[in-house]
Amino acid sequence: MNWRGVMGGVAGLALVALLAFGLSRDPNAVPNPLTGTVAPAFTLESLDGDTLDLADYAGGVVLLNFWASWCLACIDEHPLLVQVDRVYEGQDVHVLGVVYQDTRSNAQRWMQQRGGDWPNLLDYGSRVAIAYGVRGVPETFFIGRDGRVAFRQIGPITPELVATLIPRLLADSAVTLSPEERVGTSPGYVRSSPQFPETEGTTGRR
Amino acid sequence: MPRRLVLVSIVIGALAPPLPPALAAQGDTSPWRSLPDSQEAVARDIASNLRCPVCLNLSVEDSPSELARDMKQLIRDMVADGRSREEIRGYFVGRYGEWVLLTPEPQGFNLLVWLLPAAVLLGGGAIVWGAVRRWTRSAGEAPVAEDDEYLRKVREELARGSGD
Repeated sequence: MNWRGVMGGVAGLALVALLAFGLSRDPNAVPNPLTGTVAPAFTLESLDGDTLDLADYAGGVVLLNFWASWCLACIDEHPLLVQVDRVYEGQDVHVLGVVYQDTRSNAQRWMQQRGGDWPNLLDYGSRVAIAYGVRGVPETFFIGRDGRVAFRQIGPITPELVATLIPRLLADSAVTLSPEERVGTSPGYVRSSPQFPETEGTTGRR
Repeated sequence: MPRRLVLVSIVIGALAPPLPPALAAQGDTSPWRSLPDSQEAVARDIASNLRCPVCLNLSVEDSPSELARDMKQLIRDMVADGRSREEIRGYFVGRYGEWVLLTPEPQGFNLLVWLLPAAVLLGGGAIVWGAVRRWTRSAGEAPVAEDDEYLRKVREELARGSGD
């Protein structure tokens, strides 16, 4: 019995097994520790100068959408957000935008060009983005009626996602989706913002 | 004279500690709150052990991205507020997942990261040592066994030949 050959074979098999386990995992899969937990509270100033609290929307379904004017994929998803805002008007579904690493004037101009009249909040210092574990834009957090994060969409939201998730969130007070229930892909997911002027930007330089 | 001045200012510029960007540009309202040296060191240490979510192979301390800069600011604020190192690391892990730590916690499956390289090094070293021993030992032995049939025939023929 060639023991050395057997041991070599076993070691080789173990190495192949380890590599198969490691390499078959998606390196871009984002861990989402917030799903199922209570959505982090915040109070931010809107583009119009009002002060808004996440608690103002307690009991309703909230689509917390992180976006920026320099984000191309946000342009793709915007019409869908406008549609959601219109279709679910009066049904306690609220679109809430958070401006990520951008300036007030850029964000205002962008919204004026593309429509939509939901509140957009200025996240100075990216504190809320960090609290939600945001890595780039667009990212949308679906917060259920129980105030817990039901789902996190990385990249633009899709019609399928909206059509399947929002009715469930409206009907059920506690909804958590498994990773298998995720729909849609995330094209054009942008992580890094361009340099901003020293004043007026939301990134740590008020 | 101007060249010497340029050289001197280059040397001074290279030796001087880097100014935070806003201080360099404005000078009045700095977003970087000034911390005592000990807290500064703690904040820098914590930031050096967190992974930048944008530039994935850089630490938050080293990354030039805006998000890293904001995370650094948050870390500094948390240190100034008296939060402990574990609390701050725990905060980011709770938001981004364990992946945000540049050095994984040595527990559970992560222990493999710490133990496997040492084990492989030891195991490989043992294999190499055993092989070297085997090679050096066999160099001193007779290359052919004494009861080799063909060797015996050759010796017989040689003996017959020399007796002619």
